Amino acid sequence: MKRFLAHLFLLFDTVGAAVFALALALAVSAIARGGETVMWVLWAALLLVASGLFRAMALGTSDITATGRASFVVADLRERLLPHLLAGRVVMPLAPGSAASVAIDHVEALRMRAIRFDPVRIAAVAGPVLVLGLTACASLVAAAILLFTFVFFVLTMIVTGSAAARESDAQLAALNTLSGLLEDRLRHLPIIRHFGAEERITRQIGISSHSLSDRTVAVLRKAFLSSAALEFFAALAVALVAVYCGFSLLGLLPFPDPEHLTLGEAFFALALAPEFYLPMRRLAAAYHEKQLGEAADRVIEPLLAEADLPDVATAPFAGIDVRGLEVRFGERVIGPVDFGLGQSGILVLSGPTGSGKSTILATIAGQIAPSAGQVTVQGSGLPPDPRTIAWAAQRPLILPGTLAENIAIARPDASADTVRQVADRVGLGAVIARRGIDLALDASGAGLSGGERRRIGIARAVVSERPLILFDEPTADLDRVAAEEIVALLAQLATTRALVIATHDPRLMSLGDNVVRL
Amino acid sequence: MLDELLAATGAGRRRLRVAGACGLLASLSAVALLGLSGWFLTAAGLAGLAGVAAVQAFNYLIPSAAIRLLAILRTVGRYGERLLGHQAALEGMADLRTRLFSRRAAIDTRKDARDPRAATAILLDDIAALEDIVIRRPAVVAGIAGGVVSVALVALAGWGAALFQAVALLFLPMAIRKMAERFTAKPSADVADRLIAMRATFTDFVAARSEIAAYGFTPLVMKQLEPTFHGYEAAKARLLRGEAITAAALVLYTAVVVAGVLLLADGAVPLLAAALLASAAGTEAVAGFSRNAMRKSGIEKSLERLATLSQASDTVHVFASGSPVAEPIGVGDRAIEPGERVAITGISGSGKTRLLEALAGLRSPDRLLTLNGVPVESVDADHLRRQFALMPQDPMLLMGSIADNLRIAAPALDESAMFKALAVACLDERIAAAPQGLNTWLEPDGGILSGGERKRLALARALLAGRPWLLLDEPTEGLDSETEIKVVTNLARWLDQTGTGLILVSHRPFPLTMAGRELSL
Repeated sequence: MKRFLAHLFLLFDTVGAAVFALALALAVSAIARGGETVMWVLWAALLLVASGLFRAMALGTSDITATGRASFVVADLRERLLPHLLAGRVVMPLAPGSAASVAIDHVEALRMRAIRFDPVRIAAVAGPVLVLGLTACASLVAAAILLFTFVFFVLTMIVTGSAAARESDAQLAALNTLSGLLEDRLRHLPIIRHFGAEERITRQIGISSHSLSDRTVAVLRKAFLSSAALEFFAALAVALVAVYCGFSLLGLLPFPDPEHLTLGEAFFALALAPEFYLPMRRLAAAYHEKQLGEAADRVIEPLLAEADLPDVATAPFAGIDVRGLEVRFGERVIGPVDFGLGQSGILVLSGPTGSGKSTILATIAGQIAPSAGQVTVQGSGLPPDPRTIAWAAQRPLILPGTLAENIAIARPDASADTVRQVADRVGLGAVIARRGIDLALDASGAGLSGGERRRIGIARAVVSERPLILFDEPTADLDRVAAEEIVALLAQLATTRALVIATHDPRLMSLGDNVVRL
Repeated sequence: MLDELLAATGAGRRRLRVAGACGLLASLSAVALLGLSGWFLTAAGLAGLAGVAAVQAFNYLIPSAAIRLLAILRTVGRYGERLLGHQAALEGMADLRTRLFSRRAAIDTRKDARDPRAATAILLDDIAALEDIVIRRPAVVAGIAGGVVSVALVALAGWGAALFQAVALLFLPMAIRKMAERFTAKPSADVADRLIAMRATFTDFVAARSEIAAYGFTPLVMKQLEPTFHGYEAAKARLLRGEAITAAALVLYTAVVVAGVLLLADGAVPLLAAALLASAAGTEAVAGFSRNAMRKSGIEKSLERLATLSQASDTVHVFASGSPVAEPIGVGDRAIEPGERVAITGISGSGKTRLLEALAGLRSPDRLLTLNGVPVESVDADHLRRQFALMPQDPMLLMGSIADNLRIAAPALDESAMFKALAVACLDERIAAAPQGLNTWLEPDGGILSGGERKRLALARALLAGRPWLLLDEPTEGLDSETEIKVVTNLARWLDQTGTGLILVSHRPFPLTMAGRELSL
């Protein structure tokens, strides 16, 4: 209903335009008749202002309604999309920057389409029909002329329009490629400078920018034909109406005149003629928003479909078997990985940076859907229940709250004693002695070191009492003493729990009962 | 500022002028078309009423032909304006992009922005904003022309009306600026700021995705995101409402101007008719370009940033590769002589990678590090890069072909040189077997190459640079032991043949056999 309203308001703009034309026609025909014209002119001026007010209100209300509606759409979309981007089970996790681009830029594209394009879409059909009807009241032939130009306009659009739309899409893609290239080269400037290749890369950017601009211009030459057609028929409609009405008023038409036009009627038809193509011009102006919206749809819809998939049946952790586990990102394949892990012990996943260790961890945790193979709880055939798996991150998330709250966040009912004990055990005793367990933390970590932050993540996993803990690079960037403390702690933890550790630290590798290389 | 930016590029200005002329023609024809149509129709009506003699005396041929001509001119003009405007913008921006990149590339990495990723994003956004402005530029000339011709046509119906129309049009840009200040300037700045905040907050949370998913933190995180997103929504709503109010006010303004012209006009009826229609068309033309000006005020910050960068005196120059003489390195009080092969050891976190990157000129050192007795932080970046070729821990490959990536290392490399380097890295057969060989395309995430293969490509790239020192950071990480042995054997032979010095960091023991001695941090 609301959606319909937004379009209705825009239609009122056309009504206002008709009142404007009527006022002009009244004034001109009154002055042409001669006699006492002051009152007529005053009334016409008043009517002009009133029509302006009406149009302003129609446009304003239409915009504001569309804006309000769009913000509902955006809120609803965010509600479904953000949880999925933050924690949903995905086929291919997005890099944080790309996820932000989906959640922010693409959602914005959909908002702007809802505001700029959607309302003018129906008005682009209903508006011209209304103008046609009103013109017909004044002059049937003028209405026929509008219709006649419209038929040719549609025919031209069929020929040039679809080609232009394709070309326009191609242009958008080309521009994205260029900004992608520029972004890539800017990102890699340190290595480019290191090899002294700035001048050559600069030249390369110049060449690709220019060749792209040449290709784009060739594309635009055709793409702008459709807007030129719109412009031409809009101008032609005005010209033909003017010429017909003029000749009709002169009585010089080369064919029998089917109607007797008055000056007022003729002027009304002429003043209204530009409005016939206005809604379509608005539609053309919003084409860019439509394009960006469609690009956003292509990204967001698969994500929403993925978010709507039903949860898989799971069983509580009691040892796992990983068989032929493989994750495929486009052409890149991680795995296959095979191992078994009982209720306690350590399994080490090793491999260089970027080899997919964290991806395999996330797949075991059920956050990524593997392309092949499976992770099953021993003796059940079902994947492990995520609520029985803890995650000790390389850079744990700190939420606003005290240190104690951040440790107990995965198990808020843990007693203060437990939290304190675990904190001591993971080596947070020194921080607590120095700054207290009620130390207030914010997202930036309130001056905690990387190592201290890492320990909060480990403490969190321990307090959660989950039987399987996944560790992502637990010793990376730590000094020797800190790293060795962590190694000792993990060895101790492994006596009662199952640990999967992604690392390339040789000390941790020697700790593992089993090492899987990627 | 916009002019300075465009002047810097040089190209496209003539075309922009032609585009402006086309826009002028289009706008002129559009206003004249309506005015002339109004005059013709009304004059014809009067002649028709006046009788047969008047009809016969009425010259209808010229006006009716002129009307059709104006319709065509309007179309052609608009097409030319759009096409040439885009062409000028695209070409000018191609030059400007190159120029800006060149300025950015000339900065010493060690003195570059603290967060280069954010700096890159801002630069790209600024360029997009500028491009939009340039494309709309011919519309300014067109708008002014439309306004002027409308005043001329209104003048036919009386000086009072013409004066009113002129004042109204002169006042319009100012009125729009005032409205922008009142309704859209602050929300627009708010939206930009909150967008940055929203992006930063959300990116941080997504980086902790695994933890959020594992512990079910989503509701907590959504609650944390709420104020940021809500603040953005509120600012955006204010901005859109402001824009809606401005657009609505313009429509009202047009009607009021036409009403004023109607009240003040005292000419003959046909001229009045022309004046009324021209007044409406002219006001709309001026409003169109004023809205553009309003948009420009929102991106002044962007233009300022671009102008600063564009006017920076530094610019890249051709890198003269020669064969510089190896210079001795000092780590603290320990010296490494030219041609030596040294393994840097120490536990993780002791700064091994930092040491390599400091020598490579990518970061400042965290300990005393000298080249030829001079602390590296005071050694010119150009001097450093003539001494060292780095194979970084993260391969840092460009989006492009394998050949593109290798060509970074040195100018004018031929295929045989590339394959020689690839052979040392045991990657020659793999690449020769790929359907597109050296032209195989690498996506940002490495495409078809595995992690180990990407590292070896970075190794081949470092070898091709032909510097007196080779810096290797975990060269065989991710390789099976058979390949590792081959690569290390090849490398050792290559070092023998070329006499290149080596600074090596490796967790794995086998590559350490290349080193003559170890230096513990």
